[in-house]
Amino acid sequence: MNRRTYLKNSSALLGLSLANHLIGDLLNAWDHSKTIDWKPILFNDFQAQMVAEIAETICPKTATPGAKELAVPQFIELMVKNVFEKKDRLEFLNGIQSLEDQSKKQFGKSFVQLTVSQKEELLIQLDKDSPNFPATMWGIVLVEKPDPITFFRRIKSLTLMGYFTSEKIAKDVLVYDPIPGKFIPCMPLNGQNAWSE
Amino acid sequence: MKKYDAIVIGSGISGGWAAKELCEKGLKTLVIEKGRMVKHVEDYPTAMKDHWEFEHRGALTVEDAQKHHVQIRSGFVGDSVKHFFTNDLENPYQEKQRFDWIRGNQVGGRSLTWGKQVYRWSDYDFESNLREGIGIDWPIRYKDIAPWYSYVEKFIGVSGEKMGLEHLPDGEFLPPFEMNCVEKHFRTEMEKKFKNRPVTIGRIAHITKAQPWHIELGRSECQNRNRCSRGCPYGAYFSSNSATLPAANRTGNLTIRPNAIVHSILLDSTNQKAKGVRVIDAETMDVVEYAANIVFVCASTLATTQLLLNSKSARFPNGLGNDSGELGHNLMDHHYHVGATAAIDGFEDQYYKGRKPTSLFIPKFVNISPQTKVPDFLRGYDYQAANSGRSDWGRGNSTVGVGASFKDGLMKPGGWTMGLMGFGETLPYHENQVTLHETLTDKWGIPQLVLDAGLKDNEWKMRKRMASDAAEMLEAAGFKEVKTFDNVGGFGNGIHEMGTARMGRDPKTSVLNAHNQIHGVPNVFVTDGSCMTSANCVNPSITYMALTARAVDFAVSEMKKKNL
Repeated sequence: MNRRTYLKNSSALLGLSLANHLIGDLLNAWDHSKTIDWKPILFNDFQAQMVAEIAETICPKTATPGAKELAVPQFIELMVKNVFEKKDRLEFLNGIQSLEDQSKKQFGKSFVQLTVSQKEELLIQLDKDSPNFPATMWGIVLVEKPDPITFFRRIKSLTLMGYFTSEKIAKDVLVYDPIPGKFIPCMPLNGQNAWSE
Repeated sequence: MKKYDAIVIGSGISGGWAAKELCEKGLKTLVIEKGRMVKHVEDYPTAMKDHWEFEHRGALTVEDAQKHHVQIRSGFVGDSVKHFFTNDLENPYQEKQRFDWIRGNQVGGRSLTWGKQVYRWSDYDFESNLREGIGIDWPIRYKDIAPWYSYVEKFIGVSGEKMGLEHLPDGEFLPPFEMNCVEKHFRTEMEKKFKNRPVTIGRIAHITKAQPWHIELGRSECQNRNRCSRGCPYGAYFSSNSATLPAANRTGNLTIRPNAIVHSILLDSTNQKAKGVRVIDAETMDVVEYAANIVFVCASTLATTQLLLNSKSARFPNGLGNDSGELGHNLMDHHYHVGATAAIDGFEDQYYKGRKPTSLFIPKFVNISPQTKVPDFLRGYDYQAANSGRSDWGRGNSTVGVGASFKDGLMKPGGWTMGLMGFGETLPYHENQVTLHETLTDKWGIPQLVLDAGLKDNEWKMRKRMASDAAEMLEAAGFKEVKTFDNVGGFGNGIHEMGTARMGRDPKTSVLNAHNQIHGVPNVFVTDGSCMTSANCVNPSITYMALTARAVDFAVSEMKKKNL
């Protein structure tokens, strides 16, 4: 079963607990207008909502779907839970809180209550302050002592990965060519989107 | 004790060839493989999967990363290929110096995941040790191996371009892969700027035009998916699983015994020949012995050395064939992870279709003749390239931005980039060695290997030049943002470990003779990387395959003459 089917099925099965979870949110003072629509497996509701808003700010809905519509926040949570070492997982969770603290300090509001341009302003600042990932070639890291990876660098990369490798984007928006057959070394670009791999 | 005409230990690139040649010459052959069975196509579970069908989109979970904690040092192990890399928790070894031992314990071995680059050696390479007084002389020259290179290349299928270079002989080539616009530009600029640095497309063991003998085995042409390491459902690249083992199997002479660990080679004390092998069943721990007239040891360099060192007898108290004391010494690899990356302006209106599996190749250009000799170091290096290509959405990770226009922009192809990765020769140093640990064993009771090898002055000096030459060439060809890199990692990460049972002319200084036959044990042949007397800087598998086919031919003719 692939991840998307799994998510669809599990939210159906978890209808009851999802309802309870929504009630819980209504009682929560920090925001009840922006509830999340999935049952987190690692994050608490605050963390889940923050991650969803950050992902949606990085990849918002345009002519193509946004990160939330493509279940990118759930993908981020799954990766943090299963792929991150414990230390990185804790750093990630702390990073969410730091962003919230920064938002309150800078704008006097919770991150999720900011306008789109305020959210973007905050994230762009974090992006500028985050060193790049080390260069790689064939999967080989080319730098002996890479810079530490910040919370924002991690969540941005997970957002882009979850978004651009999703079936919807990789198959229907980017140009999907699983079995190219002949290799054409040079051809005019003609305005097409990028190959999906 | 069940008896066969021949036993082959290991089923990777060398073992597959030994099996094919022995079976085709009519010998009932038992192939013993440490790992599990991998059947061509049906055991390639991820071959047709798309990104989104992997729960973690290709990333390893913490648990899987732990299970492959050494394998991941290579950079090549993700969720789509992890099943072809060894479980490090079950296969421990000791590192006196960091050593990246990248393994594929399964039927087919590392032939499933190899880089597939195919380059012949020249006489200048075979003569290098003699010329410079390094190590010992190779007991063979180009003329001894050239017909076997041809024989192997035809069978496996090698795409490539003839260059007419004396120091990099041409082979039997299928049509080459083509270069994209930027790669062609690089080649043209290199021709203009440098006299002796020709650029070609990588010679690779992919079928670009299927020949009747490929089609007979069910192999067909490359589809340019570049998902090779998952196993190719088209059999387009050469592996034991797609080619040599099916060829051996159709003779009716092949028996494969997977999940079987060879503990030792048994010596007949009456005639000092091998009489067979002792094997431990990897799952049940049962011990069985198999007999044979000849034994081919093709377990991969370090596993072969482990087995020979562990095959002790009154005649050979320090390991089978170890009269010289050289067994386990002279461990070599290729050193790489050094070069330069760059971008180039222009070509915005150009694109390509398909993911060709090979990239540019720049043959060695220093120390290839008295005229090209450099003062700082011996031997040389070549370059393989990151395929020049247009960046994809991944560039968003290194571009500041969020939001609608940022996201929509990433749907389009980005700028062109290219990298050059140097591959350098490592000299054979006696003190670069592998030994058996005195007390630690693996779960099957086999003594663990202790690895103790490192680069020395010659290699460090070479690396400086490998980085600066790469940058110089990219700059000369009009690239921008040229950045050198050098992240050496551990010895072994070239995944070309070799040399621990070297061939030579003198039994006092070598383990094998000119026919890969163990000095003093005439019916045991060693034809994997352990036989290498020097390393050169090109990918070695084609040389192992040619030496294996040549050794089988010799062994069978000796058997017929009743010399074995």
